[in-house]
Amino acid sequence: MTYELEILFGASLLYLLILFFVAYVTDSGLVPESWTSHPLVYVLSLGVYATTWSYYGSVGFAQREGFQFLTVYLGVTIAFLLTPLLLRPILQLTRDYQLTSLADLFAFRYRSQLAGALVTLFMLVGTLPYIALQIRAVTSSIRVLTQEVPPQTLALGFCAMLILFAIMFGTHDASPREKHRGLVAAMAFESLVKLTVLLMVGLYAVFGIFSGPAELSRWLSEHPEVTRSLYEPVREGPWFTLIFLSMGAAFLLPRQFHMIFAENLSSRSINTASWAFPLFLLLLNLAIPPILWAGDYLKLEMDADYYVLGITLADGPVWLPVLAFIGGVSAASAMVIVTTLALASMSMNHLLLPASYPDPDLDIYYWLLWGRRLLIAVIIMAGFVFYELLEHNQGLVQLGLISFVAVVQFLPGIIGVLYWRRANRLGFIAGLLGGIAIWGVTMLLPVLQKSGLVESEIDIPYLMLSTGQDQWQFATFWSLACNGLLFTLFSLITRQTPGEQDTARACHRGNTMPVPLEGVVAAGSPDQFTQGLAGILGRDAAENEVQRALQDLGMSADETRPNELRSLRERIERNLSGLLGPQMAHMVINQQLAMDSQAKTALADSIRHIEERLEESRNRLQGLNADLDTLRRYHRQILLDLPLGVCAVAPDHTVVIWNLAQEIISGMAGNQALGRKLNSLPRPWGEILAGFALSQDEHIPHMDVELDGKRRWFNLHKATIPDPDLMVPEAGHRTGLVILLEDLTDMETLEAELAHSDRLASIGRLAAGVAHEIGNPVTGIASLAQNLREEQDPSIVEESIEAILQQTRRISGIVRSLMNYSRSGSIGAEYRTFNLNEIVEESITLVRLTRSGKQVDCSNSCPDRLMLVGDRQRLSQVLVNLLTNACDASSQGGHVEIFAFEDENEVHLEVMDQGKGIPKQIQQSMFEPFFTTKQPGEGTGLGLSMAQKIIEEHNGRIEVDSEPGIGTRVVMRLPQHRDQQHLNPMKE
Amino acid sequence: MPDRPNPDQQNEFTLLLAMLALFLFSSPFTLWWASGDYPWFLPYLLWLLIILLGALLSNRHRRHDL
Repeated sequence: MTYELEILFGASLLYLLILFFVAYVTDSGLVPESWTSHPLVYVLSLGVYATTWSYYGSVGFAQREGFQFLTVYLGVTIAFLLTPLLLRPILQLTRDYQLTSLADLFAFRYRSQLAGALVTLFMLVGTLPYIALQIRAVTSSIRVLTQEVPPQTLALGFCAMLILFAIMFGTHDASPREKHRGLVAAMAFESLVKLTVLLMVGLYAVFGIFSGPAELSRWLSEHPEVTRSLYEPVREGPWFTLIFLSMGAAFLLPRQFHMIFAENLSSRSINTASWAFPLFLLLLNLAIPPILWAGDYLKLEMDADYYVLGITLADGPVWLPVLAFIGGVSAASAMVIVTTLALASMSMNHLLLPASYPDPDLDIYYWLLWGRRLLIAVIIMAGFVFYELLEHNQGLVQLGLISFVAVVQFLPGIIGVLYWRRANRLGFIAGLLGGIAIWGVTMLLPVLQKSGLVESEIDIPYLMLSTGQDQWQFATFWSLACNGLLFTLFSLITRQTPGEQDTARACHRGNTMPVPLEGVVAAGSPDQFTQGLAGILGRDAAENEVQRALQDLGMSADETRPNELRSLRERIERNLSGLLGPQMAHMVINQQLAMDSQAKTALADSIRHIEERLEESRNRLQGLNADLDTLRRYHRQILLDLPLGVCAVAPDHTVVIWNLAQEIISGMAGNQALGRKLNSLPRPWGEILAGFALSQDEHIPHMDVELDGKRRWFNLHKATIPDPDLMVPEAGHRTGLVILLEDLTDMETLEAELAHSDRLASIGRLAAGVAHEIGNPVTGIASLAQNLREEQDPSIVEESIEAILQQTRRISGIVRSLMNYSRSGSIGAEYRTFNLNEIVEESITLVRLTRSGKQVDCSNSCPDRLMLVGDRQRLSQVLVNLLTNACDASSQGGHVEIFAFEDENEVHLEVMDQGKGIPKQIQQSMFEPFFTTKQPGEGTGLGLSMAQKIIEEHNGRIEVDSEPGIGTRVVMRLPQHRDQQHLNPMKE
Repeated sequence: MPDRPNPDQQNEFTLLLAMLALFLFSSPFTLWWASGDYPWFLPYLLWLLIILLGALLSNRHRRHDL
């Protein structure tokens, strides 16, 4: 059975259009994002590993080398099993530093443009045969189906379609740092197609050719040499070498690196891929032996590489060969597209850009976009030219393995990236050059000789075989041995540059030591960043990159804090690394956003820098370091979760800790406060905290602050944080501080309510006396009024009216005293100057209303003109409480005296009684709230504690001197001239 | 303190599994199973065994993210 070329052309065109459609609908957002970021899509997209070599070539490989064809996938399985140790760290690096290719990774780690260029060139040379192989597989498959040599224009057309697809769906952004969901979905679709088709062909082999598994088993038992021929090469061939090669190829091939790391949408997907991708490969290879046996059974007279097509041509359904052909097109196109995209971005970043950086007046995005598109076309066409030049007798597997041996030359470099910090650029370059040289002689040269491109008398494969090793073993062993030896030797005898030391620290898995900070960014604001970058990126691109970095970090455009600006600089470098490559980005940043290394790095910056680095490297810490970090977090969490506001500042008064309670109290988020000087914080906190930090006081009690129109009260405490480097503090050396804010507002409110309750309780006790005191004058007024009705004598009327008014004044006086005493009052009432004698008199009037007050003689010996500054009502409450206690303690006819005097600083106010006194054991606890010796209902137990509280609020002291059986003397000392600003700062 | 996945433990299991895979496919044991008179699908079964163990390990540590 043969097919018309037009049918195959039409089928492949239709397939590629479907591929375009899949990529288009995904890029357009018509497919839900949850689908495209599903781990299964990622796993299938990795199936780009299986090229036409796997699809067609595995059968031929199995025929020649038995189960050795499995090595190409078993090595990948082992590499993916090592995901936590191998792939995940690389993924982390590529994500953190926006590295999109292997050349980026090496250029970043070894801080060398030459390393990047060398890797790119070697990749290009090593991969071109592989691209050529894909084109050849497609044209050969057409030849099998049509039984005629296809015109070269067909291969050219195929290449043109691939160029179009790669440009449309792989370069819709200027930067390779963007993810290409459409491309990933299309590659997953391609993998699904080739897997499905290969399994269908395998099933056709079992059920169509052999009439079922039973028939196949019977045939196998009749031909035991078939199974033996699969096992024998395992014992004799380069089994171990091939497993090793495919382990390296699993993630070092440009297409693999691109799909595993650069196009990874979700870091969790790589966990699934660690087992699901090997499973995909297993399923793909399950069909290979039945297809091989079916071909042998049919005695097909063709290269076993194309048995996948050959068996379908024998009595199979007419659509199956076309479908099998489409599977091959799928495998070839996926490989060429992804490899080309990877090589194009590598060539752009490491060859084209360093060689001819565009003028800043040009739009760099536009330049990069079209540069990459041009490179894609050039690379695919170079593959086509290579295909044209190649000897068509080369086996598919031979060409593929050349690339495998090429990419494993990067393994020593990868060890340097992940595990060997001392590895340096000279070692890497020397090793790679040595490896390339041996690879060139042992692998590439024989291919070129065979194709007639190079003429030489020396039979290199024969020379290799004469050593007792086959070509693959010889080339792999000697190239890697030379590479590794030079890499180690040069790394040991030469020194790393400071830049290399930094990146080695950043890459090393066991890295625990954050890079010390040196200097600050010379540019002082994002605007200055833009100006600096505009000189090399152009104004628009510079603005765009600064804006992008600000957005990434959630920073505002007016940021000026040194640590934030340093983070901004790092972020811009990382973003530019995705755009221009790591080394170019590093050069641009160093040149345009220089560091001022002379500027001293503030301790606060260093602390925050270390903390940020530790946060970033959390998952990388191991052993004791991880335990220490856990302990650090625990202690830090204690500080952050303290119910007190905590604000720690460095010696230059830059905020380094601003805990959650402080955020709630101040209404200012931590990231707004951290890194700022205390005096630059918004009002009122800037002046309060900066003032307190500079003052000599270690505590400020009861500070009154107005926040959002509401008054709040705080206790402020501070303690110094000695510099750990200075064992003995130097005179005048400023140290760090920790400031604690204790919010008293709720307590104040509660105390005000308690005080009011206490007053109301007192009034309750006064009620009977009040009724009596008001009742007497009222009775008198009533009698006088009764007499006035009949009285005609004007003088007596006048006298009666005067008497009524006198009684009325007496009532008014009592009512006013009560009113003054009982009004609820607001917390934190303003302090006023008042006459002490007046409130003592009022208090005595109130106390006289009580039962005990009536039986005791209260005398006021306070000087008439003694003035006090304070809360009149609350001090009156103190006097009422003390006088009530004194009266209660006195016996009938007893005497209570209040007198006061003043000295230079204080007013002394004393309440003395001659009552029964207070036992010593009670004196200890009498100021405690709710402590009372009175009967239930006679007192709340709050009187003395309130008195103490109120006196202390007035910066005074209260003391009790009592002798049982003799009497009690309560002494209060209040400041003479109170500093009103100190008590109530917000009022100024 | 928050419960953290233990990367050390995951790395140990990963290494053990990789060593098992190397033992099956890249050691003298490979020569042993390739020398016996076993059915053709034996390498596939060994391969599947490694994959299943890998899936088990991955599932056990799936909370450990970047």
